[in-house]
Parts: sequence; structure tokens; C-alpha cells
Amino acid sequence: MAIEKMTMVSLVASQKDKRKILEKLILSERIHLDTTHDDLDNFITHEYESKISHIMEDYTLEETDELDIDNMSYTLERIASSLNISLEIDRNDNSYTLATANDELNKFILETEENIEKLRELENSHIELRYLENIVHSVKQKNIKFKMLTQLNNFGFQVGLLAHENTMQIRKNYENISAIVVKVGEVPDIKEDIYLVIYPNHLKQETKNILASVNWQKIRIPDEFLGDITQIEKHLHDKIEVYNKEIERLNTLVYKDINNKRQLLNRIYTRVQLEREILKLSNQVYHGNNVFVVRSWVPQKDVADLEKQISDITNKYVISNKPIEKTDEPPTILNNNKLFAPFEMIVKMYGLPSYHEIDPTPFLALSICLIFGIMFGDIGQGFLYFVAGSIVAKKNATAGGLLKRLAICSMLFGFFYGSLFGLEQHQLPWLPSILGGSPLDTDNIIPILVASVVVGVILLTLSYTVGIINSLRRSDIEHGIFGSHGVFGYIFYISLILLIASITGVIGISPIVFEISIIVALIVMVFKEPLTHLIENTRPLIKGDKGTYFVENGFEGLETVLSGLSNAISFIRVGAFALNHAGLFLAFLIMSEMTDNIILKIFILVLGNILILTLEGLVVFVQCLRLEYYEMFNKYFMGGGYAYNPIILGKEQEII
Amino acid sequence: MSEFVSYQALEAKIRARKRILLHPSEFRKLLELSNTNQILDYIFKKEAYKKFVDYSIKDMHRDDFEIVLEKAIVAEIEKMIGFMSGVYKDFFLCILQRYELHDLNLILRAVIKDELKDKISKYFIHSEKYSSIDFNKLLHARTIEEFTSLLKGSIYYATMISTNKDGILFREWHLEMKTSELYYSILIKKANKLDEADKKIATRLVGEKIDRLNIEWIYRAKKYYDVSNEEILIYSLGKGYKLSYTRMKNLCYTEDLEKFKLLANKYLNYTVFEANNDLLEKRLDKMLYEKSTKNASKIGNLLSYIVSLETIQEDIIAIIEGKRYDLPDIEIKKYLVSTSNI
Repeated sequence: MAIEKMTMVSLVASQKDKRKILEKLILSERIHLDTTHDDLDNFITHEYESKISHIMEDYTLEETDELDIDNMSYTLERIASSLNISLEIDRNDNSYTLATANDELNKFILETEENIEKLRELENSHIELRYLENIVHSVKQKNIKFKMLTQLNNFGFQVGLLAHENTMQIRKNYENISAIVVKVGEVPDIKEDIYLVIYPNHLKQETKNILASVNWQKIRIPDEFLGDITQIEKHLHDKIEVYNKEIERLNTLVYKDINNKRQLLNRIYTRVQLEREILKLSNQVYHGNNVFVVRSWVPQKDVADLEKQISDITNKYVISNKPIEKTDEPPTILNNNKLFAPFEMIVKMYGLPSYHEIDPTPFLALSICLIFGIMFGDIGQGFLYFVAGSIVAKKNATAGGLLKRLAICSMLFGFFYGSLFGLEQHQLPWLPSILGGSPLDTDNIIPILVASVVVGVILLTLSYTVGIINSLRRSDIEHGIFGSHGVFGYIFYISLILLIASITGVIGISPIVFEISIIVALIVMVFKEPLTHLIENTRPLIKGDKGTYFVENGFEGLETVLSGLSNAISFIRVGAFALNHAGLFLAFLIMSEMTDNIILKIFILVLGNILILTLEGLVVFVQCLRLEYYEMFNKYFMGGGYAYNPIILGKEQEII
Repeated sequence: MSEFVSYQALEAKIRARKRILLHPSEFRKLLELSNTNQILDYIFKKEAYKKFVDYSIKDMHRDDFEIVLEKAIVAEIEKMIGFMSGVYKDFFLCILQRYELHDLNLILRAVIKDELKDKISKYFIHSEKYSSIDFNKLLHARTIEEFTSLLKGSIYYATMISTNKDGILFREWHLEMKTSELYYSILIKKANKLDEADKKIATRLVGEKIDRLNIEWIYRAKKYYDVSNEEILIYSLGKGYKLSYTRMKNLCYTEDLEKFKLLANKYLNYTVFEANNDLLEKRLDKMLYEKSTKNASKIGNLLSYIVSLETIQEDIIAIIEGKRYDLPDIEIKKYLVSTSNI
């Protein structure tokens, strides 16, 4: 059994200790809150309350203000982003209250914010000045006297940027425009042109409207810089130099001991996040008059430890853990040993097993290794996969681990077939081989195909068995015994196989025996509902319309026949791929024999191996998944579970 | 396979979808129903609209069902895109972006007015499948500057950045006009990349849509807004089909509104302005509907499908609003675009 045992823990304690206890629970990272029991009504809460009322005393509740937390967290994020720090949860320090955190934060702001703000302001004006400098540089007409333009009495002027398509709009209708528009330069890197617009004062508003409608970007030249272009350039340059120095000075101030600052901010952040979680959890627990109740799923092995942690805080609490019943639906944690663990990924892709189900991982691991090995058996190629797996494992341990395990099986079967990078005993006589010769030798083809069907029969037998056990555990007789994946489904399937075996003369029993058992099994399956009701002693035997029932089940029977046939044949693919693996290489081998050039020969063989490693490897893996998911999982695996998802600080809770 | 559109598949698809969408031939049935709730029930039983209905809303307002219908159109275009690739896909993705524009305007208006934005997302119609913009982030924008910086990388960024804040506040519609100008110029550019035959059809249909928008804009601006002729011309969209730049200039500088109407009818070769009919918008829609649904072939078929979906949507709303205000059927029929004889 590789599904972790869970317990439903109900913790009742005084509301006075609520904050402390909730904090402890969150930090324990083991609480998977059970919110499915909305029916935990007042009655039960009161019952708990009466149980522990004798140890209650008067108290006043200290409530944290949600707004405070939001404000703090907003300020914190603002400061962190202005310092380029990404906030993280700091798990070291927990002896720390929100009030101190708030004080520290305020102190920090007092000390540093002024400088930070000044720095940001300077940086912004620096960027603006650089932009202005760039534009002034691009002005081609250097003789414009801006100072004199400002002194005009009846005319106003503006300098600004216009995009090309907008200048077209003005140019096409220039006869109606109320101003003089002169191009004075262009800014190549933003593909916009610089224009000087001069208009009579009484047409000011009209001109402004038109300019606004063509997305005119006015450039403001501060009065202090006014003069002719070269003067402006010089002024700007000087000012930028001054800014540069100031920015450098502030930078050293702001980023001094950045590590300490980061630590401090992380500590405050942790506390704020913790407070937030406490508030959230507090909204989810059940409240009585004086007590509160937390109901959560906890792994059984952690319960004692959790209780000890609570007992360190207070002695006014009651913990009860009730044994799990069939109707409960605890979350699932898969817990497999190192060998099988990577295969959990394949199971999870299909669905998590529910708590009461048998974890299919070990069976899946063994069977997928077996069939992958049979289909893709090669010492050399397996070894390359192993190397690839080791590399992948550094980035993604699960995927790498999976690849390594499959690779080992591939190598093992490589010894069985006697195959090294596709070369066999025919080419390399010293190669160890259990099979002897190539899988494609005429003596070997039929045995390999037959063996693969036998493997299929064994695997399916196991699948049926597990499925039947799972169904019976749920007391589901209809599916477990009479259904197409139940006992009679299995009888049908195995009779079909034996029928083929007896017709081909492999076994010496008359085919009639199996024909009869096939028919009996089919009839039982069609009548599964009335038979179940007969055993369970419920009436009526068939719910709903009888005609519909028989039509539906008749078709289901037909479907069973078809899927039984496909099940029986399906595993031949395992053998077929083993042959195909050898065959694909044979094609490249023959091609390489057509040339005498040794380099070309090696090139063709390497190319063949690369193709086999990539394309065929992928196809074989997909076939393995198909066999597992379609042929085997649907016999025994429901996958209706949900993941154990404890509250962990800094990790977003998944909503399922 | 890089530039591909499967007209056969699309035509078959569109024919099949007729069953689950509302068709103008059903309008008579809608008119026979006595109240708006019955009409909504009738429409929302149709597969295409059903999945967008939020049944938690008890009293559906115009906004609510308009959104359902819009979403159904977006879903139709999304489905069409599955049958094409390359420049065709680009072109239809661009058509989808118009709905994105609608949502952007919603958010922007809320930003300008500093309203709460938590209820806006309900009115979003953009295609979630094909959108390149993170609307959730945009919802958190507090200022126009923040809003602009979040649009970085999208086609709207250039327009947003070159529009100064004063311009946005000075005239609410300024930015809307500018973005739609950008949008249609991109759409025309994409249409020009299509195969020769399709390019001709697509630029014509988009051009006709532009004509329709321009006439409405110039007429309204002249009649209701205090805008100079120069600005009217600048805000008009380029690359129309019937309305060349000179024609538009003539229209903009026609001071007498009656002369304007005659000139517009002449240019468009369609009586948009009728003697005693002041439903300009409906007349324009009718023009566009008739022009785009007449002899549609190849890409025209798809575009006319979209136009007719939009027209049907407008008509449904007209029927429902008419019923809400207890107009007699004969009055309601005046507001219907897609069909005149039901």
C-alpha cells in the first residue's frame, strides 16, 4: 500500500488561544482543511463547547485588522520593487509580532524612503533630460533663436514631434491649417520628425485642437535652457552631469547593506503573509461562543507531533482523531519507494487514486518497464538513454528518473536479444545473447509474438484482479462480479484466449467448453443489474424501463465482445515492436552494406541509431502509455482522488 | 500549407451552425412572444448562446444580453480561425482584435474616471483564446501611465504612448478615434497581403465599413460637436472604398447639412439619408449589410457571415428593447436591419 494513511483531526480550543494555535498549525505545514463538511452545525460545535467549558475563562478577543495587513503588504511591495528585491518567505525567525513588524517597517521607511524617492525622481528627470538632449541634437536648423520667439507679442510657438502618417494629414490639408508648420529636424530612432509650429495668438485654441488631433507631442524646453540650439545643448549637458553625480551618491546610500535590508524586509513580509493566512484560516474554521473547531486532514504519522506542538502553547484544547470510514474522502498522498516514485508522474497524468483505492504505481512501474524493455531492447541505445536520463535528472528529477529506469530495462533486454546499437551476433559474434541470433530470424518471430500475447494475458489478469478487489472494497457487486471488468468479464476474456488456443491446437481441450463459458459469461453480464439486486435483495430487479435496459446492455455486451478481442490482440504490438525495432535497424544495415566507403558506412549506421533513439523511442513510449492507460487502467483504476494540499506559507493554495 | 484557408470546410461549417444560431427568419416568432423574458428564453435555448449565459443574473439588462450575443460572435470567429493559417489567420485575428479594443476602452474609461474596476470583467468580450494582452493586469492599472506601460508589445502601445494625457482628458473620444484609425489601417494592411482575388474582396468590404463609419462620424461631428472642419477630416479614417480623400474633404467642408446629405448619398451610391427617416445608424447598417451580403464569394462569404452575425445581434437587441418599451410590431420593424419583410 503506497497511499499514505490519513486521519481526520478535529481540534477544539479556546478562542483566546486561536491566533497562536492557528499560527502553529500553518507553520506545521500539515493542515489540509476539510471544508466538505458544511453540515458541522451548531449542535456539534456546542457539544464540543460543553466538553471543554469547565476550563474556559473570560477573555477579550484580539482581532487583527485586515486593512492594516493590506496596507503593510502594499507598502512592502512598493519598497521592495523600488529596491529591486523580490520578497521571499523567511522560515528562520518566528518570534515576532505584527506590531513589531509594523514598527520596523515604519522605521525602515523613515530611514530610507526619502532617499529612494529622491533617487527615483532624479532618475526620471535624468531620463527626461537625456530624451530632450537627444531631440535637441537632432534639430538640424541650428539658428533658431528660441529666446526671441518667446518675446513675440502676437504669435505663439510650440516645438514637438509628429509621426510620419500624421504629418501627411496636415500636409494634405495645409491650405486650411491655421499655423505655420516647419520641419526642423528628425529623430531617426523613433521615426518621428521635429516640427516648429508658429501661430497667431487669436488662433491659439484652434491650433492646439488640431495639434491634439494629430497626436502632437509637445516638447517643453525649460526656461533656464532657452537660447539658441548650441546654448541649449551646452546647458543640458551640464545639468545631466550634475544629475549623474547626485544619482551616483544616492545609489551608494540606498544600496548600502542591501543584504541586511533584504533580510529585514523578508522578515516583515513573512509575518505579514502569516497574519494573512491566519485571518484566512480563521474565516474557515467553525466558531462557537467560546471555542473554535478546526477540522483537517493530517497524515497519521504527523498527528502526535502536531499535538505536541499545540500542547506547548496551551493545555486548553481537545484533539480527537476519528478512524476513517468508507464514506470519508480523505486527500491522497502517494508514497512510493525510490524505485517506483518517478512513475507516480504517469499515474497523476491519468488521475490521482482515491484514498480507498489501491495505488497503481508499483504495478504500473513494473509493467511499463517490462513492455518498454521488450519493445526497445538494446544495450547501447539503452545506455544512451541512461546518460540522457542522468542529464535530464538535473533539471527535472522525476522525468530523468523515469528515463533512467526505462533505460535500464532496455539494456537488460538488450542482453536478452543480444543487440548493441542494433548490431547483433551475426555482426558481432562475441555479443552475449540469451535469445540466440536476431529476433527477425524465422525461428524467433512466432515465439516472440506468442510470448508477447502471454505477457499481455498475465498483465491483464493482474489488472482484472486488482480491479475486482477495488470494486469489492467499495462493495460494488454489480461491477466487481457481473460487470465487464468484473469476475465474469474476466471469465469471458480468458475463455476467448483459451478458445483461440484450443482452435489452433495449442491446448488439448475441446473448443466447445470455452464457447459455452463465453456465452454464459455474456448472458450474465447482460443481466448484471437484476442479478445484483437479487443478491442484495432489493426490488425492483430492473430500475426503469425494461426494454431500454436490455437494448442498452445488449449493446454493452457487443462492445464487450469487441473490446475482449482487441484486448487479446492488443499485446501482440509488444512483440511486433520488438521485431520492428530490429527491422528498422536492418534497413540501415543493408543501406550501409551497399557502400564500400567506411566513413559513409559509419555515418549511415549512426544516422539509423539517431532515428531509432528519437522517433522509435518516442513511439514505443507512447505505445506503453496506451497499453497502460487504455488496456490496463480502465480495468482497475478509477482515479477519482484529490491531492493532499496543506496550507504552506508563501505557496498559493490550489483551488480544486 | 503555410497560407491556407479551407473554404469548403468553412462553408459546410457555417451552414451547420445556422441551426444553432438565431436566423432572421425567426424574428417573426420573436415578435409574437409577449414579453422580453420569453424572447430571452427562446434565444438562450440556442446552443450558440447557451454557454455564455450567466444564469445567476435574475433580471437581465440590455448590457447583459448584449454581452452574451457579442461573445457568441467572438466564438464563431474563433472557430473560423481554426480552418486557416498564415496571412488568412493574421487577417481574421485582426478582426478579432476589434473586440479586444472594446474591452480596452472599457478599462480605460474606468481608469480615467477612477471608477471601481471589479465589475468590468463581466463585460469583457475579447477572445481569451487568441488575446495577446493580459487583461487581468490591466484591471489593476491605477493611472493612464500604468495602463500604457502594460500595453507594451501590443499594437496599441504606439498610439497610447504618442497620445498625451491632456489629449485623453480633453476629449474622451480622442483616443477611441485614434485607436480605431490605427486598427483599420492595420486591417487594410493585412487584407492587402491576401491572395489576389481575396485581397480585392477584403479591401472592398473593409473599405465599405470604413465609409460607413466615416459618414456617421462626419455627420455627427457637424451636427452635434464643436469641432473644426480640419479636425473632422483628421479624425476620419483613411482607405475607404467609395470615399476618397478628396471626396471626404468635400464632405467635411460642406457647411450646409442638407447639401451634405445629398453629397453623401451621391458618393455612396445609396440613399443613406432619406427624406423623413432620421435613423441614420440603421440606414448605414442596412447599406453595409446589403453591400456585403450581395454576391459574396470566397473570403467575402466569411466576412459577410460576420457582418450578418453582427446585424442579427443588433436586430435582436432592437426587438427586445422595442418589446420592453411596448412598441407595436410595426414600429419595431422599422428598427430591423437584416430583413424588411417579416
